[in-house]
Amino acid sequence: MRTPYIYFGQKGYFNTPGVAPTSGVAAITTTTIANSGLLTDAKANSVDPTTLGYRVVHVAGDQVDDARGTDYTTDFVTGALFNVDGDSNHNQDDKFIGDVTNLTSAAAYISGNSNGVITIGDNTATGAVGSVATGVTMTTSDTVIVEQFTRNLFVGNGNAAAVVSSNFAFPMSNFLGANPKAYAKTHYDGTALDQTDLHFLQDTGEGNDSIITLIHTAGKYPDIVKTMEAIANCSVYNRAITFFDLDYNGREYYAGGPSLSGNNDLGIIGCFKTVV
Amino acid sequence: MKYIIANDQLTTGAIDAADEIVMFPRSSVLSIDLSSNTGTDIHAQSTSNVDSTVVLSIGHATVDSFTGDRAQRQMIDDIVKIINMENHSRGYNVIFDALNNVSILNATTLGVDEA
Repeated sequence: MRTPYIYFGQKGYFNTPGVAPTSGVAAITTTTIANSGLLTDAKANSVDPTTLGYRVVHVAGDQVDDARGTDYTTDFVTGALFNVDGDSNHNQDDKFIGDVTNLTSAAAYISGNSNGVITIGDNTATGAVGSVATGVTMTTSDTVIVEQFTRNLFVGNGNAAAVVSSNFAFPMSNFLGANPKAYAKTHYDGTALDQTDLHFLQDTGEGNDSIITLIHTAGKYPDIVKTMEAIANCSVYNRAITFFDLDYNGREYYAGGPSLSGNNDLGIIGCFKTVV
Repeated sequence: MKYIIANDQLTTGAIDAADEIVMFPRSSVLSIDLSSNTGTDIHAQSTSNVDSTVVLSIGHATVDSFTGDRAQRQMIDDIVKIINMENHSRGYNVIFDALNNVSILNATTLGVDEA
């Protein structure tokens, strides 16, 4: 019996609110395959994460003066200069609610040591890393988002460290169901997010299901279910239908929604296999 | 029903030995994934133990480049095409055959692992 195959490329995504510095540095919760599809590889103090295929983005949840390194001058989403409203009390190192900063200054980071931990220094130069120019002093109202943007070795979300991000194809005859999960977080562009887990027969032949976790625009669960149904009944047997893919150059590919439009109708921003 | 027959490229010492020759129906395929930078695996339910798997490991050029990345993606399409192919006139299709120098595009080796 023939069956369509569905294909998933990986894109790691980790969204963690409420990280504040202790002794001058803020340690982000360890990224794992299970929680984000990210095993951020060995990362020296002097490396900008965007050179390793992922970005670390800070979203301000409250207003604090003199909290952001002076290296950061523009909003990552809007591209606008920070705080140029002419108010003499507003400077580029003051963070305001909704400011989005791509933390690209290498000196802001401490070594990940191959363990998936990203540590960000504050901008007071009191910790091991970070400085007035490079750090950011976060509060528990802020959010840090770690997002993979190319398929490569460095984010280590393959089957082991130093293996290129993995990819998976499953026969649709092994699809067991789609399970909406509590997520309730917000992307750096302000989009509300949900999580849906797609279950397949375990590819080790025993134990728990194989699970593909999708992080996507809130409210898209019904469309994801319809998309899976459309793929299951598409009668395409001579290739695997791409549900989501991220290539080496950072280009993303989509099945689309129920109409299989090829566009990102479901708002997929994370796709990873959480049960390996 | 169509079936997949495979033998390990490097070892064919004894026809009844493990990790050498396997046959399973195409409905037993569980997944296809990247196992290393130079290997893509086909996982199938084992015929000797339904709680285990047979893994066919297909070697290819490293995926650590744009060309390698897309070639491996294409390889998954080619594997799916072979698994699903209805070839009533010939009766078989080939994923990898070193002896006769026939294979899907970019495949360089084939290993069999009965877990």
